[in-house]
Amino acid sequence: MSLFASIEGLFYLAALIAVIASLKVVTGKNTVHALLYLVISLLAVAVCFYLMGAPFAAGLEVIVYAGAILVLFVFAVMMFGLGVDETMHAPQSKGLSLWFGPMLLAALLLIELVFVIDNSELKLQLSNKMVDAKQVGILLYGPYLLAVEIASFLLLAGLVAGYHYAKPEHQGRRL
Amino acid sequence: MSTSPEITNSVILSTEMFIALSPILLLSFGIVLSLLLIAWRRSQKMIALFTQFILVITLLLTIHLLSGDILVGSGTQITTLLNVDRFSYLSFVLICISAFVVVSLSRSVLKSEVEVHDEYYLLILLVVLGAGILVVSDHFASLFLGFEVLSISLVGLVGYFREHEHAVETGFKYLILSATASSFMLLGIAFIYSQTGNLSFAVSSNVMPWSAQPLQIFNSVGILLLFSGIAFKLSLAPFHFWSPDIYQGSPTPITLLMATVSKVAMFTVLIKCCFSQNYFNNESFIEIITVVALLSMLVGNILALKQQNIKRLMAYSSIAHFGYLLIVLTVSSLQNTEFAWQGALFYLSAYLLANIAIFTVLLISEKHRDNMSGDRDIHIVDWHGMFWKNRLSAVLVIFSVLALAGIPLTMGFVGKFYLLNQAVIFKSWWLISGLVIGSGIGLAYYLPLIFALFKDEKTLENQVVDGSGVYLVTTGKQLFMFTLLISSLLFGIFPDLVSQFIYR
Repeated sequence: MSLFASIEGLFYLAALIAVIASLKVVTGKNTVHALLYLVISLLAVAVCFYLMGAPFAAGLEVIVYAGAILVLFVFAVMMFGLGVDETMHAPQSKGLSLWFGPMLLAALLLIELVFVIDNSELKLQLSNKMVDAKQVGILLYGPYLLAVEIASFLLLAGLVAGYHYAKPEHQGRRL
Repeated sequence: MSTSPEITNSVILSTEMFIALSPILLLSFGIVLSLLLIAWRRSQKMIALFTQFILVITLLLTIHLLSGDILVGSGTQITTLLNVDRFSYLSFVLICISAFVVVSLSRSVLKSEVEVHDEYYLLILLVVLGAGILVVSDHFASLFLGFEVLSISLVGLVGYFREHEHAVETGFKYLILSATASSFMLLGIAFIYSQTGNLSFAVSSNVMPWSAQPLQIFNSVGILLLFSGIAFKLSLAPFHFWSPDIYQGSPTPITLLMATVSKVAMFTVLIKCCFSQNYFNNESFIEIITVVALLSMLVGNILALKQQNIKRLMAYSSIAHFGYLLIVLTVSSLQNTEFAWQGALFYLSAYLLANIAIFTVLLISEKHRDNMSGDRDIHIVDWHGMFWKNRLSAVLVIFSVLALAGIPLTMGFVGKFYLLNQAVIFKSWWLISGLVIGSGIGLAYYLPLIFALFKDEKTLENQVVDGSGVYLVTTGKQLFMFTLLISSLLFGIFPDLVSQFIYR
């Protein structure tokens, strides 16, 4: 079997895509285009997780980061109205050329995934060392129970602090 | 498929673990209760009293556990995440004391602002919880989680008064910088994990079979990144740029919280991590510690020389103090760790007491200033002639500044003596000379601060004529300052009282 058809080869390909996409994020001039590359980077990391035998982590990566957080990012960028800065300093979008890059990388990832799912030998190798959702759950509610509890306090702290900064001004009275 | 029986039947927390962890559990329970209290009725007085109550109960419980024999030896391991030992609870005592003082001082600040304040107390409790988790952590996961609880709730606190001039700037700076620090730390932890395959502190990276391989470089880089994340929180020299701005921009009680609770907790976990992972056997780690310590001592002291703003001055002086404290990490073998812990805890308590005293007086003069004009920053000029106007606070400032400078008959002197002793045992002449030179430079800004208190200037007379020169200090504050004065005197003259409590 050639190098590209083994799990390791596929892993390094996905990792390379993640690195390229991340570099494009920080070098990009247009915020929204950079965010497109960020989505690709996170998806590539998810594929890496999948190839390492952690489909649960891969799923979380897609749902939480590429799904929820990136939508929030795009939403925030659009809402803050960077309009003037954007049109002054960023290059204008010229047809399809700007989303050709992310498209190409995403297509590569898709081909890779389809290849893994399609190839029965690779699938067998993956399922041998798989860490599935059940094992993660047993660990989280077993030895790492306290970590889950502490994480809930972390979320509470973030929530309270965020609420305080975000609430409308001059609410309340002089005490 | 059924789950394996040993997982379903095993008890995660035994009674002994439960007792050992009880102060932190109580604190978390207190946070939940105060949420309920806020939901029931928003009353600042009630929540302040309740927060104080929770902190006092936690403090008493911790002291009770310390006097019992549950914590002797290597401590109680609680799951893989936490390990409760004597030293971690001793620093938790320090944390609770200073948080209690912060809550007591906050009441007067919060009265004068237009806001609803229940979240403030909740966030303070969360800071204490984060610090508590840090001091008992025995695993990189709990280290990181505690670090994040501490920083996120501090982010909420540093910019709490949003209508202040620098509030948003301060909050934003702290948020971005502490997020950067924690991402560095996370990368470091990942590198260490790639070498050891285990995140527990107890598994030393030096004894692992991987250590001989060429990939050893990852381990060193990992330790370096982890240290830089912690050094950011301690504002050690190359990572100190944020601290003066944030000290100046945040409300005074929160500055005290940052200078004491956050730093004591971070330093405790740094010692714990270094000692249980045997980093002191690693020559290059010791070299880095030495360089950072020397830089912090010199940079902190030299930058403080020209400072007129007292909060910024305290920020720079704390950089220098944590530079001195890094000396305890340079132990030569595992036998000396006990002595190192003792020195560190003694120095931390001296630092804590002096900081509490100075910030209390700072808050009083800020309050006094607030009644007169809008400018909030207190400069050394504002303390001119304080000795003639308010004898008690001036004497308190003198004692604390002398303690920070390390003059004999104060706790600071004994603390520095411990550090010097350790540096001599380790035969690190660089650190010894750094300590001596740093303390020498330190005198050049500590003493003018004391002289300023006696300066009798024309402005003073004008203020007396205005009738606003007299400091308004409540009886409670006076009593508190008196207690501080007595304790700093007592512990300075009889340092055995503290060191015996630590050593026992």
